[in-house]
Amino acid sequence: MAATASTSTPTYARSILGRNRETFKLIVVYGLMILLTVILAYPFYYLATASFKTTEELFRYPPTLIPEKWTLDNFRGAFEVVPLLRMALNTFVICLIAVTGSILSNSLAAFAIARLRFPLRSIIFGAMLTTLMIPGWISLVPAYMFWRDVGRFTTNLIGINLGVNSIGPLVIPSFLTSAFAVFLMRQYFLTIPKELEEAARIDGASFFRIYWSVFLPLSFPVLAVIGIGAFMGSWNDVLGPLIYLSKPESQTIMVGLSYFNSQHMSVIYRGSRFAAALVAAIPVLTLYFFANKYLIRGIVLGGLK
Amino acid sequence: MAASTVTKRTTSKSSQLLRWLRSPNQREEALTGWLFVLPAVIGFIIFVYLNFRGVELSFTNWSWISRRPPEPVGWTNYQAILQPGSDFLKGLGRTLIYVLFVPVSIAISFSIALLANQAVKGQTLFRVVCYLPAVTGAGVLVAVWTFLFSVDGPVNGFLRSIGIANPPRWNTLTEWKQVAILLLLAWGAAPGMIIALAGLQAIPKDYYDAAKVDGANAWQTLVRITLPLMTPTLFFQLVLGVIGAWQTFDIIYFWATPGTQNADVNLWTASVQIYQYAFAYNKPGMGAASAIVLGLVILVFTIINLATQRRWVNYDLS
Repeated sequence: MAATASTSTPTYARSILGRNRETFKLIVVYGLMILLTVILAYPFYYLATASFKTTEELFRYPPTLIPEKWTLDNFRGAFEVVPLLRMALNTFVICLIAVTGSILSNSLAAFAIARLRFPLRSIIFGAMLTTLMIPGWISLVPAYMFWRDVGRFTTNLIGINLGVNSIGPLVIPSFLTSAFAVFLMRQYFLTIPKELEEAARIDGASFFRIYWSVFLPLSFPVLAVIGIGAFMGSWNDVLGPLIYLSKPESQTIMVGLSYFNSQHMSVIYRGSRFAAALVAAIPVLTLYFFANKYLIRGIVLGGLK
Repeated sequence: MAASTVTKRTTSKSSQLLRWLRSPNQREEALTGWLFVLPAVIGFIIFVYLNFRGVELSFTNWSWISRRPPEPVGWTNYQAILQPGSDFLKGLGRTLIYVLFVPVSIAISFSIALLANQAVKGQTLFRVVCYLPAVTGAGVLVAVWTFLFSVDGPVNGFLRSIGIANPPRWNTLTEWKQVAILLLLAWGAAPGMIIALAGLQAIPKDYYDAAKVDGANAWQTLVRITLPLMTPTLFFQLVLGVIGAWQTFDIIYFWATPGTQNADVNLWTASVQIYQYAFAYNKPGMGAASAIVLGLVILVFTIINLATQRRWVNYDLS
């Protein structure tokens, strides 16, 4: 009797200890996850609430979690300082064209490189990949000259300026592919079984038809990654619009935010700066909210291979 | 007959090409292929042209306003930007701070990935939150950050409440602005966990089972198994992180916007300086030369990274 008790007690104790350790680990893991979530999400929460606070409340410590008195004054102020809606619209137009351009051009090139056999194919692909290693700053000055010439040329030719002071320099490059996007799409296209296109080919489908009716419908995840990436890239771009657009009413919303830097020291515009930042953040955050699954998977794909 | 075709095929590539293009089916394939990559080829040609032109322009002097074409001036631009104490060299020095911070960012994203790799519920949501900083524009982040770290802002309110009577004057002293920017970068390092997590999940479970059988504790498992097998991922993040850090622009542009009340020359990085030369100071030749120097600095650092990888990167898995 005593013997059994003495042998069973340590086992019992161990299992209790083991269970406690599991529980302890779980508490630590969840504790850290919650702490990090708060740290990472707090600035966004702060932005969302501060935009609706009165100036007096904005400077109160501790900061109120929910505005005591909701106000739209900050938004009114923001719209006074910069043509915010106009800028948001400009940015949307740029983003939509850039998304269209990058989905079309990158998927066509990636399809050809992944699936079609033609002379110089691997040389072209290799040459494209080398462009990833050269920092864009080197072409900053020559690119501005280039787009200035393009602007003169298209104005003379068709009466439309597609160069400097138009959205041309911001959207036309997206129709000329990006090496990284082609690479990512090629990786994806390589996983689509060859039998599908062979069957279509026997049925007499052209290569364009195979691209359009077989590959594109099967590639939604990677098209989504490229599209979302292009949208976010264009939306958050600062340097491009800063250089190529000059008038406030044709600027993008991100550059519009920098207009507050000259005024943000003054107390009146503090809240307005938040309101403008919120307006600038909401479209990308909304997109991210709906599409994060694809985006995160795409980053893993691009990072690993 | 068959043997001669084989030898022909291996000896003469061009004749193979010609024969291949003779078949209508393959001709269609080749033409379609060329047509589909045409935009990429045009883009590549423009890219190459612009970069060569960039080198050429770095040896010239002109201004955007004058109608005169760029005039060759030899190494003058390089002498100006590389003389001791020049704005550009100072900018490079400041950028080095962000380059040296890359390992810290990697350590942060790696630690978060370890946490996100634990088998508990809610990981999907956690991942989504971790990636948030990467989708938000620098202008938005800086708008929030400069307020959180203002003299009477929430951070100083917190510091006062825990007994620090004179908290830092974040938006007046360059050093404290620098600290606040590094804190923003540390916060912004979280998205890197997605890549680190992919690396963690690629490690086969067998290694951990074997470690358990041998009685290894959690720390030993981390140091002896996880870390060595993660070195390829860490190396990948280091190379790309260093290349990116040398080109830090957006955050500094918003934090110390040139030409405004809160412009702070002492925060400008190399790339902000390039932008200033090229457009604000109307010295595009100097801007082009600075960009070339920055490109060379990046090249040297990348070569150093690639050369030292043999010492610590472990490719046993792949």
